[in-house]
Amino acid sequence: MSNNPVYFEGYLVCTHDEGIIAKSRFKANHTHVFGPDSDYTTLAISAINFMRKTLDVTNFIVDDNIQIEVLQACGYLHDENSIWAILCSPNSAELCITKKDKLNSEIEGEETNLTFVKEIENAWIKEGNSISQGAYISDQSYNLSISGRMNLQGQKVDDNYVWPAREYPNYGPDIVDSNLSKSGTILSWTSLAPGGAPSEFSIRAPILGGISTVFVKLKDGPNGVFLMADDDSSSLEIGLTVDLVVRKIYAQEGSVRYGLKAIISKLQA
Amino acid sequence: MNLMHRELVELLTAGVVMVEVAIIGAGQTKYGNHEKGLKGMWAESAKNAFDSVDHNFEPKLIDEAFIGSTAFGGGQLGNTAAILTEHSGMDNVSVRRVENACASSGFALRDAWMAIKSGQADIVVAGGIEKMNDLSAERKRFWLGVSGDTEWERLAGLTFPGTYALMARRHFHEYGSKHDDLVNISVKNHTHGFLNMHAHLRKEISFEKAKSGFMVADPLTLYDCCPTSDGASTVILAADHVVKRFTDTPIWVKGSGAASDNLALHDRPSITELIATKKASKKAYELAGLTPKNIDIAEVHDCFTIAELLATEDLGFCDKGQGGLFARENRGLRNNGEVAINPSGGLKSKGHPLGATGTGQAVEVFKQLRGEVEQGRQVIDAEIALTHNVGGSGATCAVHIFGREKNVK
Repeated sequence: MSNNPVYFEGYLVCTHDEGIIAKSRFKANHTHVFGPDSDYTTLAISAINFMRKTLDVTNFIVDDNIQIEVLQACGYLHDENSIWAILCSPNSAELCITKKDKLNSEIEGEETNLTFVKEIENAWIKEGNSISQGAYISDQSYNLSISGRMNLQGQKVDDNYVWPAREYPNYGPDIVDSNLSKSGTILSWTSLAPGGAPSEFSIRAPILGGISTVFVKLKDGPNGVFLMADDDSSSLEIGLTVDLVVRKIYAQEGSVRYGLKAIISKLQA
Repeated sequence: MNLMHRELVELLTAGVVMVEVAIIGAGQTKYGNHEKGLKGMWAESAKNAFDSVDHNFEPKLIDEAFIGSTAFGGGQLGNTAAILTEHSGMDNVSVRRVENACASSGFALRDAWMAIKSGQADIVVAGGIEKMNDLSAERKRFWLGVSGDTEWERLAGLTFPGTYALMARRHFHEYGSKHDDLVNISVKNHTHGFLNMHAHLRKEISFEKAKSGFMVADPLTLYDCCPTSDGASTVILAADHVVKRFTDTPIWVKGSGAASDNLALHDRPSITELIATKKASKKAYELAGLTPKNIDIAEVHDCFTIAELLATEDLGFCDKGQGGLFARENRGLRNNGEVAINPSGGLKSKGHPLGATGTGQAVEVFKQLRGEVEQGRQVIDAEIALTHNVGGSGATCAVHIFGREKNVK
């Protein structure tokens, strides 16, 4: 067992003889708390991604705190017969993936303000109750592109990768769905003032002090725009390498929409 | 080159006589927080245009009408155009709303031009309208940016200040332009708009003030962004064989071009140029038989100051990458160089009532070329003018070239 946590996709992960433990890197009053766009679902996805670096496992018994359909969109399944279970800690932003009992491990974290955490939690609830009065993405529209949103699934057209997927009515069968590498380079970026954010973010943006977006050249060729994960815009620069991780994007009409956000890579090119 | 454009060029080259189109009247409301609603603003704008025709004009002579609007706020989303014509003495005129985001009335103008060019109409109205300031703050926020890519860009936190900020920062990086260059554009356009009685923001601003505006979308500050305006604009176009019945000083539409591009920035090969502007202007220059050097006045789509910088490059007023220098040297200032850029004040100062902007630009050049603008605002010896109207961050663009003389056959 190792208590030395690894920073992975913005979380802290440590390996254990019986599985792994993943925790939010933020702490308030000695308890792990979620960052501004994380929850058990996003933490679970990152924990599985970490685990899959050494183990080819896709099926899990999933805790009620985790949204199964979001996990599925990432290629992972809820399976009552799996030997692996994802267990969430009800009072702390942490979970373990285990073959047996719940795993425990003390991990340090970055201290954050509990008031801020509560404000963000309440903002997500309020946002989830909102109804669009203009621009709108239906469930159908969102779900049609969910593989592109979670897995960066695009297309290989001849020798080029395309993302997000496009329609090619006259092209024929030579288009193959393909998951692109979740890494790229910042070509441009901006930070929007709280009042400049789209309505979908208008409740959280003032609490966060604005939101930041990067325009990224993906490793496989296409460009994309992504919000910064964990509201981290402290060191944005053209040329920096970013990785793409699953986070909450926004909430509307009772459901949370998830997707990829950018995080500054620890391994800069 | 599309078929229609190619045929037009071939016919002109072959010396075939085709109908020419002129503006015979033009008018608009003041832009800003307008006390009137949609019907009242359109009635005022249309009346101003009708009254500007020198003689013999009656609304019942109109064959067709094209009215640009995004129907901002959704108050009258369907049949927007019909409800406007019935309140402006244009009863029973064949009319439709044209929607291409902020380029709606630029395209309405092009549609009107094509209707006459095709021989199906002799007198056509092109106009635009938007009511933006009667919404609650929450509803307004939902509508701002609806013309961007909703599925991907909006969910990456972008509205138009954000998309143009990405373009600006990349231009700074690739070409060495600076935010100070954008400040120069803002100061110039406020200088121009100060004397324009129809402008939304009639105030001059200093370089220092414009430079220190609060950050909206880094690196763009408040003074890099146009206001959200109410307003309407109307132009009346006529075929050459009827023009003389109405005026001795028509302003001829010498060229028209339009193009589209990928809606989302991430689908474009470059974010430091607008391909739609390049393609639309190429067509317009070609039909007019002119080059950028011939343009005396350009009303360009400066929804953000970086948009004007890009337009000066994409329209050919300077080389690629030289837009910053062009702004730094103040070469677009009225009567200060080879071309006056946005003598109306542009969207930055005159205002940007989305659907009304394109034909509002045509109203400005109609008056400039006829020498009818307010004292101190006249571009001296102007013969040729260009309007450049962009939809969103460049998904659509319409360019028109106007002159005091008809195209030489």
